[in-house]
Amino acid sequence: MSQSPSNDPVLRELESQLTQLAPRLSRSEQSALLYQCAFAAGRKSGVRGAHRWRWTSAALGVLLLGSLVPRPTEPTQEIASHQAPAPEQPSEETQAARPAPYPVVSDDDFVAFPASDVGLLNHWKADAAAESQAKSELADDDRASQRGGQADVHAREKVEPMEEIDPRIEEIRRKWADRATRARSVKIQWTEQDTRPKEHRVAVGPMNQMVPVGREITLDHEKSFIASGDKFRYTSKGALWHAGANSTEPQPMEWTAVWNRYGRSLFHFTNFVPNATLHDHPPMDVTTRPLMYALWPLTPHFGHLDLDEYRIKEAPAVIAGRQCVVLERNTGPVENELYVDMQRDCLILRVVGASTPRQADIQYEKDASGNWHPSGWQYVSTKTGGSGFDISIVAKTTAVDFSYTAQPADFEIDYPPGTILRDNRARPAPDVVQHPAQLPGRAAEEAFIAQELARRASVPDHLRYRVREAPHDREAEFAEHLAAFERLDPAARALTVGSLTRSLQESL
Amino acid sequence: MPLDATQLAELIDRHAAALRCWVRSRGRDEEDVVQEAFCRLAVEHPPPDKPAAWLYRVCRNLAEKQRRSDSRRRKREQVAAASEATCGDHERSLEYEETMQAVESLDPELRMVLVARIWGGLSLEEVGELCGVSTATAFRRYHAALDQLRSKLIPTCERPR
Repeated sequence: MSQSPSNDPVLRELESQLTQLAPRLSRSEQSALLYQCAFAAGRKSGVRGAHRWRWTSAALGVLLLGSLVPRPTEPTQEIASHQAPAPEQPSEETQAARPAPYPVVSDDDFVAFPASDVGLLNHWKADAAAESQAKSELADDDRASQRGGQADVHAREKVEPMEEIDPRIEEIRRKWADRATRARSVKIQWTEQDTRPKEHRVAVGPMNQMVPVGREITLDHEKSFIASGDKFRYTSKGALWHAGANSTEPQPMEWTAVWNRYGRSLFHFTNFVPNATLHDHPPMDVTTRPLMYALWPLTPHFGHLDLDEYRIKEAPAVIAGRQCVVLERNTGPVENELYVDMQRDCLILRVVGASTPRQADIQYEKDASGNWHPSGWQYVSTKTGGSGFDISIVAKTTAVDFSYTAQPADFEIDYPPGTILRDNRARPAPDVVQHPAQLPGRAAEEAFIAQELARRASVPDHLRYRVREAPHDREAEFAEHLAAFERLDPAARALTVGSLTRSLQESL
Repeated sequence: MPLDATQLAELIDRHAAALRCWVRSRGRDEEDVVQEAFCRLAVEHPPPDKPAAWLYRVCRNLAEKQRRSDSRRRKREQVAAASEATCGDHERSLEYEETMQAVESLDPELRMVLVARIWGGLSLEEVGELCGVSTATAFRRYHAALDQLRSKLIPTCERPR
């Protein structure tokens, strides 16, 4: 896997800027933290008792303050001026002997500590002869702490016993795997109402300006999803906001996304530039997540749930009159809850995201062959702080075919003449050691693209790709935007200028 | 031998503030967790090959333990309420302030990946392992985090769909 997000120079520059802006603790905070480390190390290395090392660590902690001060940009003379005055101030030796509580020192109070004496700072370590005795005492200390029911916060991290696997988890795993097998080749179609609140910000105009929408808007889509194994074709017909359109009103748009394991191609039938892109990862679309949970919860690139990360909560729940067990994610950053109907082949009825407030509810029907499929689903995410919804989606299934026979062409896109293609896949090529299976496909796809480019370039004036080379030229890109702006009619120009002005005023 | 003082000081300088940001993304009491992680690092013998990755991993485990402790939950909420005292208080440029605000406004799961990758210097494989997701998911979140930051910090650039 590449370590860089894309060949987009803007993102790369952003990465570089972020790296340079790494946060730092203040020097006083750093010193306090270093003191705590010295104290912990002192305890660990304690030979004859904790008291001696507590005093020594306290002394070292004071000395450690100095280790952070010398910086290349700070003149030595200025450091000396801090030390010279105030004869009543204690000497370094006196400071070193001062016991806890640990010192709280402002940045201005720092004194220099000679680089040659940094070795003194390592005196918390026990010598080799004392180490075995120290280990013995530490072990005794650990045992005493355990007997007393108190955990030593500075002791080495202890291995926690493995939790017993709940048999219901294994039952869920089996049922989900079975359902994914039944839905290995399937075509499903649905309608979708996508509602965005007033003040939802959308990108409009050739400058991709973010402007708020003046009212709540609901967009209707007709969608379909064809899956075969872990390949899919996802199409949508409806309306979307998009840059290039000079209005905050959504514009008609059709698009197709294909994931064939080797690359995702996303195509827009509009004048959006570029109107085709290649990616090296499948899309994670909130609108299709409930569908993924319903049919392929365990499949990589689809539902992608790892049951090893979940445990069953003690208290069950009732969703739409159905008794459910609640699976709580016990690791990772997303604290999801899954509500599973054990009586109906472990169907997922609800998914709740805790860290990002969102909820998906799924309803099901069973066909004559015994296959469960989602008859509809609703997804709602709320704004940070809980001030109203951010996205609301209501989907209703219109057709399901579990006997659909996918064709190779389902997972390809025949780009129409004039398509402008951007290759957003990461450069350099992803780590093939991590994903060896992708290599033949990637190579084949790249060969296909090269072949297509050569073929279409030979055809005059049409059937021609224009591939943006990476890294692309920002000045040229700006010139492109400017040219697009100049081609606008006066009303559209006014809209673009107006949105830019409002954005500038907001930022000021 | 464990790490010496200069090595430890350097690690604190480079990673302590970022680790606090990272732990706070998990909604935990970041000061206690980061302090304990560094204390454990100070006595780790032999020291880990990749101290940064080790620190993030230990912080994750400590934060997870803290999550399970009801007694600390109350304290965590108090900390979250006063979350602006974060990420260091050294001199900050306007650019720094804007950037940190933008980072803080990211979804926690995106922020965790971004901080570990950018400021922790972890590989995406390590970030994925750390956050309990696949490398591909870590990649997507990292990309999404950068994309969101771009829209916040560079609002006029092109955003291909």
